[in-house]
Amino acid sequence: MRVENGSVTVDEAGERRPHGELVAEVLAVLWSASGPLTPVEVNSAIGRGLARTTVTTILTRLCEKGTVVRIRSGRGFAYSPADDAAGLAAGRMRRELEREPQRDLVLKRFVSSLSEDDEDLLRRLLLDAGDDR
Amino acid sequence: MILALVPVGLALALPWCAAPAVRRLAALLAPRQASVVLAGAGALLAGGTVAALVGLFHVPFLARLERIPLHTVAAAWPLVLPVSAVAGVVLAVQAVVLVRRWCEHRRLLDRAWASVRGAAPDGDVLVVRGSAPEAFALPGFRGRGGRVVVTTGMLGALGPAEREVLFAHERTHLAGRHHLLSVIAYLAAAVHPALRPLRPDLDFHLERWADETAAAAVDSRKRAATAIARAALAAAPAGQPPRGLGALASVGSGPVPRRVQALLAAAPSGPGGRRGRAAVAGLGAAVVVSALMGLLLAYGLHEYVELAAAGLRGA
Repeated sequence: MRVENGSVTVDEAGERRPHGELVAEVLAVLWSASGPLTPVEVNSAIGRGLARTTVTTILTRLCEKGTVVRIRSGRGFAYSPADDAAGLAAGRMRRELEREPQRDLVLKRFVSSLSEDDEDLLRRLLLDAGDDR
Repeated sequence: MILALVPVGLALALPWCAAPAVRRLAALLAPRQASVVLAGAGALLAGGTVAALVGLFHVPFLARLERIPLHTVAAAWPLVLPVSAVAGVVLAVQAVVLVRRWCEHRRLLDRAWASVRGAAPDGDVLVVRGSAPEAFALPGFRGRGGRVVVTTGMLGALGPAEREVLFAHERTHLAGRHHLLSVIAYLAAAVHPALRPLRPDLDFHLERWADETAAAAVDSRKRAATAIARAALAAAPAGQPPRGLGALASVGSGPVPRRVQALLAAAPSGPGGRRGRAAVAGLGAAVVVSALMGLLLAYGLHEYVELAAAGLRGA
């Protein structure tokens, strides 16, 4: 199955979400894991109750692109991140971007930097909001 | 000539009065409208300034076009040459700064795209491997569509529901082409110094715009607020000195706490009540009238010079 740019995937809750987000979550799970993971393990780590085929499709595609590598595990495969072949080190990107004082002109960052007072204020706001994750 | 200089002087001074009015108006509006007002007013006021300068600059050339010898003009209006020369120099400097700023914008885009080269894109999300929490919208460039760039560190710092807030927020920036509005404000600030404060205000309202859209997308203002607060705290390791405080950061609290507070408060509904609407209508009318006045004054100077030239020729 080929999933094109901008397509959406439907999860068990019937929620439609852009495909890229799921891939991002799969990659995040694999990169924080200590060893190779099977599609079932990845699925449970994501915790969205996705269809198993959805996760397997994503992993197969990532494997074809060289972002992840797979080893045989029982009757299926287990996946782990490729040795930085396609994975880009964030350190390099950060160093590159931090050399640019004007980068905020083109890059809209999710959060800007905080002062110490800001940090205290944010912690208080989080507590007041009833921090239920 | 002195008489003609008065309205042009007014047109050039106009942004000093109009910019504070625009900022006050934006503060009363919902984030989306505020962003459009700030960028639009910046462009209009900058246009009025350039028009007034062109008006001053072109007087001697207009006289030549009317076939009046330059020394006759200079005798009638001794000020004409120095004023025109000063306006010409200012225009030339502005042109250079504008071109340089536009090139800087393109170069920044180029560098940003180069810095993520090698990351495998999937859909419009680009995941970068690394523990430092970072997420931003990378605008489309040279045929490549916009991307949401996010590090695994940022994904790990947020819960699944909070990641949705992040994606919805950054996608709003991309879909709304917010970086272009930022560039408009940056270019306008090069034309008139009074327009400089519009830029930090605009950047703040653009973040608020994306925050509100994200909150609507996940159907929870509180979840949007906690996602932003958690991401900001994760991105700011303890003990690290604050970097790059913007103009807004010096006013009590920084932009991030203000965004979180705004999300924890009721949804912005624009100005409420008759007095609020009247204030907005009044401020809006003042801004539109003043921007139009700048352009009209510049045009009026042109007409005045033609009339005076006709008088000189007749003499």
